[in-house]
Amino acid sequence: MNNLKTIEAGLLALLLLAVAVPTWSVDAQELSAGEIMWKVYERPEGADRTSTLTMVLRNRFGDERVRSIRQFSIDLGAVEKKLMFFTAPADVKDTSFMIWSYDEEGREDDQWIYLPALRKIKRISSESKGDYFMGSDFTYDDLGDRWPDKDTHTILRDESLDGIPHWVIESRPKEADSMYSRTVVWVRQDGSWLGTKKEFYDPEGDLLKTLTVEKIEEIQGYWTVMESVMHNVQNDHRTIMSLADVSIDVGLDGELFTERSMRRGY
Amino acid sequence: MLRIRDAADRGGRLSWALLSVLFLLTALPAGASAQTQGVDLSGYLRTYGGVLTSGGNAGDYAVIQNTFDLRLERRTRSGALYVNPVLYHYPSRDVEPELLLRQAYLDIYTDHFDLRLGKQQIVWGKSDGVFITDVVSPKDFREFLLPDFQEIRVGVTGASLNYYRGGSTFQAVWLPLFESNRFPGQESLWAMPVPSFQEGVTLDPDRGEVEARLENSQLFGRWSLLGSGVDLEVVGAWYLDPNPVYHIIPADGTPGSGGVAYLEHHRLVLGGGSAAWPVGGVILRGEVAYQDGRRFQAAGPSFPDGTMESDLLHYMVGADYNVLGVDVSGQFIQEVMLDHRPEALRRERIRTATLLLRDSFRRDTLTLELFTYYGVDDKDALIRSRLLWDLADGYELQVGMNLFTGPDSGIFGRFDANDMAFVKLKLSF
Repeated sequence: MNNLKTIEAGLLALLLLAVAVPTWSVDAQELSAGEIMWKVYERPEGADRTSTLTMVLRNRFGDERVRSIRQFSIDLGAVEKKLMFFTAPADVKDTSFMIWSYDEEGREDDQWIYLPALRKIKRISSESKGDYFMGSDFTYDDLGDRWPDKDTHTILRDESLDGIPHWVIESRPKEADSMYSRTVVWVRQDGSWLGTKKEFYDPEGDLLKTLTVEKIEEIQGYWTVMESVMHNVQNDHRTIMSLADVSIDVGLDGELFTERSMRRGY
Repeated sequence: MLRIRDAADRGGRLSWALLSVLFLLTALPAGASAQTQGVDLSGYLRTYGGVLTSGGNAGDYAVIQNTFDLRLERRTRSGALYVNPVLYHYPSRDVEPELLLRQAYLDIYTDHFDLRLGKQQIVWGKSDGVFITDVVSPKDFREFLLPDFQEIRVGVTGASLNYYRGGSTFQAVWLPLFESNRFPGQESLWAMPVPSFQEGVTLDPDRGEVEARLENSQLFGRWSLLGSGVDLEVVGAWYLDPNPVYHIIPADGTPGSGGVAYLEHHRLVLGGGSAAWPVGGVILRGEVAYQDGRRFQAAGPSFPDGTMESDLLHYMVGADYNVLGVDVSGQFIQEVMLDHRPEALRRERIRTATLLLRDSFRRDTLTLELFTYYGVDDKDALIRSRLLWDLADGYELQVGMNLFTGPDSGIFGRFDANDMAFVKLKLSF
């Protein structure tokens, strides 16, 4: 269960959370692809959040498995802390997972897991960002905020999705060992800096996965993606990720993100 | 005098516990979900079978066991109630089902303090599969090291007070009642050999019991920190050695003349700590304990009662990392008798290494695991391999092998005839 990076900013970035801002049209000629991706990256997401995350894993035969997590996050400026409590399935219930992610470039996350059967908190490595999260179609890296300068961005075209104009932006990684050869994201042109679709291509250049946003709600002034689907087109496996009980800017105490909470629960 | 408490008959207390649990269960309206009543109900049902694959008894069942583990928890903002009875049923043995109350405690929460009262498991340290500063809960070695560690650790009755400050936790534990480690009987597959010094000696089982008195209580303290870049623990303990030693009263006052022996648990003072920190993609771990005044078996004219005293240094260094998707974890453990004498019936140094390899497949539903203990001094080993398959959410099937190898002198090699194949099916709810 290595390598969750910035879960609230992570899941939410991957889930493509957006801030409620007045809708206005942005002239594509005014911004470069890199500037647009920085706007997406720097979208405000609130000081803290709580939510319940449910993932339904569905294979090609329609068989389903369900994973549920209650999650808390806080942005303390230089460090962002996230605490997750697994509530289903039964054999992982009461397992908790904590991540501290740092703004400092190159600094690795601190990560711990509490295993109730062992009654022990273990520090775990933040390597293996390419591992899949809880057997889903999301890798830990997918769930994190990817630093825009790690990629080279190009605007491929303008395209309308559901009647809304989007930029279609291709991002190619600068590092050689990336698990994707490129990604393509659809970013709304209404000033929300919200992405609504993303394609992931494998190292051979073939389409691997498609992420689509299914449901968006405005919660406490923030446009929040409540449901999205990641479809691995190569093995026809889907992960339906949905949020519930979302609260933002609730004034979480930084001391929630400690050993005490990991052992005791929420 | 500290004496072994006869822990054999807990029947009365366990029956009371079972009745309490049944009362709690029946108090729930039929058909109502436990959660809606504020009581969280969870646990598992497991069936476990193992067959010997080596030695003269190959083909014999090493174990057939059914387990029902029930956990009831009710939580509020100011506290919690937790009860965890466990029932073991051995259909192939002529024994009564065994009912344990693994934990049963009450929590009280305040802003900066948590107080836990009752029977509880307390786990310290950063080692995997070995116990260095993990001295609060005694261990159940009746099935050697094969059960899950949750089942090896025995719940202890007492009070645990935690104080939280920033990322630090200060813990104080008081145990008014002593519990010994549990060892296999001589009829068990896992029986330890009878020491030669006991030949001609009669064991007095009534002597050595640790009486339930305040003076026999135990105190433990711990400071821990989960910090940015490092985790730390510092521990101290004033406790009774859960491993008793034999004291011999020679028949005519000279060693080797027979006589009476009794077991005694000695008071120990322990100081130590542990740490874990990341270096690149590797997690480094270390743990150390210093035991002051521990008793060991000895033979010779200088030790007429069969014991000698020595401080003991016990430490572990280890590392966890991931290689090509495989979790790899290695540890080196050493125990050093600092006042060792030739008459001691154990080595001055005992060295052990462990290696864990683990990989998951098919969206984490299939896990292959290999965990090995290696006795460096005797060149013996316990190699545990298993395949875990999540058949569906909550359903787990395990198949595996426990292989013992090495000379009889080694703690693992002595069970060379106990190689075992096993299967476990577990339903969690």
